[in-house]
Amino acid sequence: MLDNIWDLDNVKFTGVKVKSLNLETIHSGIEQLKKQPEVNRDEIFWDETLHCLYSIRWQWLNIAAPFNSESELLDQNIQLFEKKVLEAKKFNFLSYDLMNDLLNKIIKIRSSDNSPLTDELIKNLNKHKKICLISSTSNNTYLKKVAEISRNWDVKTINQYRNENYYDEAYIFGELNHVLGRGKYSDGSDEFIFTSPRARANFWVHYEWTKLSWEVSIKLDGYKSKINTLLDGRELFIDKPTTSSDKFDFMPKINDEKYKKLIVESLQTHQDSEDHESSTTQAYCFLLSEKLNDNNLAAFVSSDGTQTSMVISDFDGDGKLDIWRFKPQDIKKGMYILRRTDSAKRDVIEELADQSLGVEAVKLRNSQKEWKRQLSQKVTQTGIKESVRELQNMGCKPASVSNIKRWIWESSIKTSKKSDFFFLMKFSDQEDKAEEFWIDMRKINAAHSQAGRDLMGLLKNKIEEVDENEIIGKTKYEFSLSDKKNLGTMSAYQISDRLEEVIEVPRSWCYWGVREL
Amino acid sequence: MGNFIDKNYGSFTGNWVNFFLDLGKQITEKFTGNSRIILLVPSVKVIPFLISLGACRRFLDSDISTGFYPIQEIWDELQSTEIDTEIHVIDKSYGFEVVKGRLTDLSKETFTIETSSQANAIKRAWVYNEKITPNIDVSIVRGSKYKLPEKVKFEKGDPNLKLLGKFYEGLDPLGVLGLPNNLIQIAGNKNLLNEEAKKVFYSEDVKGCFGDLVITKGSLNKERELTYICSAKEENLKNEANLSIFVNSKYTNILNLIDWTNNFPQVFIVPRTAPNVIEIVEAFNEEFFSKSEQLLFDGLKIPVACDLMGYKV
Repeated sequence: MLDNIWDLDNVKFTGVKVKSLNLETIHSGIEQLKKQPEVNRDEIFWDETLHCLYSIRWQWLNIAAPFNSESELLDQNIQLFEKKVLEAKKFNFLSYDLMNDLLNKIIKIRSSDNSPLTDELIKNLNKHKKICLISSTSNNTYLKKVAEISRNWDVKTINQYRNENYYDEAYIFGELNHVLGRGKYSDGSDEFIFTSPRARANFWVHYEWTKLSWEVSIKLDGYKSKINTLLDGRELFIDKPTTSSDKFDFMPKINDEKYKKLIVESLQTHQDSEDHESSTTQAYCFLLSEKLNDNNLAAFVSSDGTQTSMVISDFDGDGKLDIWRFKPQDIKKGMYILRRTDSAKRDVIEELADQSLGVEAVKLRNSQKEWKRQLSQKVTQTGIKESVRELQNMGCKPASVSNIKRWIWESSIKTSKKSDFFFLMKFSDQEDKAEEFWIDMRKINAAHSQAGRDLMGLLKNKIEEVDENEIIGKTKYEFSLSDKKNLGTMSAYQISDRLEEVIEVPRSWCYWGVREL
Repeated sequence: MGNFIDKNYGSFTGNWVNFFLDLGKQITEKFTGNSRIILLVPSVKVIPFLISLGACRRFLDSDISTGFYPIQEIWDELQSTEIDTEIHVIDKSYGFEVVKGRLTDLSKETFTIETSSQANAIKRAWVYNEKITPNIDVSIVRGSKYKLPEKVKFEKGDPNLKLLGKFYEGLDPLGVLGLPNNLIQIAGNKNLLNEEAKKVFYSEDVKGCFGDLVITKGSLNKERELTYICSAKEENLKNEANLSIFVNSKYTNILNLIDWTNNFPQVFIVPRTAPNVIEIVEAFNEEFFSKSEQLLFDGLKIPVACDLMGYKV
């Protein structure tokens, strides 16, 4: 097998172009609608209409399964589009007929059990060959059924394909530009499917009106790679567009400005008592596939470098779900972000930490509140910029506007260095109690570290119990953390998008629950 | 070159095998100081061992040690060897025993080596004259003052002579037993590396594993570890290693080792399939940008599937 992996010269790459008149008609219809004079993406109505149409097209482009396969996300988008069509009728939009025609076509195709990407292909696959069917999405239930035809056939997601099995043939389905290219939702590491193929013959199965516009991006600067030259000469890559204007980007894009406005409105509506100005932070906003009362849901993760978030997916490609911590910038579309929802006024780690602190918890938490209260008062009196200056002059190097806000925020515990903590105490006239507070905060900090490990253990056990199919394809999955302890419910939300820029939100939004926008 | 019994490894016979052997040889022969060699590869399997094997071949051909010679052939050289030098003796009088230690006494007919720093430690001595020729092979490790261990370490083992003979053809196969410990280190996923070192393959009619060829811990005995295997943490690394090979694999991130240097060449092996490949490649490209010198590789037939970059930091 090792010889096969290294023998790139004799590997074949072939494109398999598939026709689907029904889907192509929908694609053309969407493009036609986009060109109508009244269609303007800056208007919320058209933004939402186009986005749900793009999302429907996107799903069907990528899933190697019948059009009528179960998909909450698809149904959500179709329902939303139905509403938009009704609105268009009500307000006599000129594009109503076009929209209605599109809706009828979508409804018709949705009930079809045709699977154009796989139907013809599967009939001709050799049962005696070792074949891998690779899904570019995490939803591969249908492919798994197909693979039951022969024990020599495997189904894998791209991530699972990273492992070093070697096949006679591999088939990858869907629109690959988003997988191979580098962008907001892909770091480009999946290009190994072509630069380090795991099959002698590799096939890209796609609709004939989609093209691949990709070239090798992972390169060592000090070496002229031979892979580019090798791949350029292969049939699959000959067809690539020559200029960037030829590229057609099917990936549904969101209107960031619209969501920023919704966040601002949400900020004004939800003036929780703890959400005062001093406890805000810059955060990444993740839009979730799950909706509530037809409104969008969002999860926020602070971008100040202090926060990571727990995310579920099959990260190591072993076919089982994993739960890993990620920096917000590494969290991608399609992953499931974990949030505590039920009993969610507090971070579960705080609750676990308090349980381990036992009777001392109340006293220690009071200490935590006390020094922060006095620090907050002092900062208010002095002004935040002047506070930064004074603390810096005292020798507290990490003092900055954002760090002072964070230290004041009730859930933060202590500074990293003892000396900085003592500068804070001196600044806020609490020098006499500095040592006592420091010891108390170290206890809380230790309990939090332990709680973090306990929580990870609890979650890992829970996730191991869950069948991958129970989560993948769903927009939300709920489970209780512990049967013994009352730790509330955790929810795994599928991420549908992320705003390009970070946005200032109350720090509490970043730790528990999700926000309705 | 060979076929693993494990079908997930299978055969390793292609030109790529010779490339890594040649690379190991070239790195140790040509590059000095903090030379960094970055490899972007389709799979990391067996690569660190092939590079190590190439390096061992070169070390045997170099002046690190004399290699093992029968006593009558090396006697004159031994006579001019400095006291305290590291000496390895294969004593074949009763089975196969490797003794190593510090040269403490030398006369016209005898030599003695001390094997531990304990006060009452037994010294080993051999007599060689016209009447007595002991059944021993001796290797002198040049430029190495032997650091005595606290306890005596007996090194009774059974080297895979057929395998050594095949893969060190044209060299002194037993010489590999005379090379000092930790001359090479491989850092990565320790469990996977150890497993791979023990993975059995056949090369024609000879059976063996890479651990036997590059002498990893336990291949001969617990004390001999020419190639040291450890997890990818700085605190585990050996400063004396003349070649360090860092392998990125499951649950390891070689970026943790990017700041470590020991003034000997370091090889970083990055699989194209690693989920963090972008981060790793960007980090090395950044380092390449501020290199002090680019390394050139002579006459290597680099496989299409492999990208290779070298520079000095």
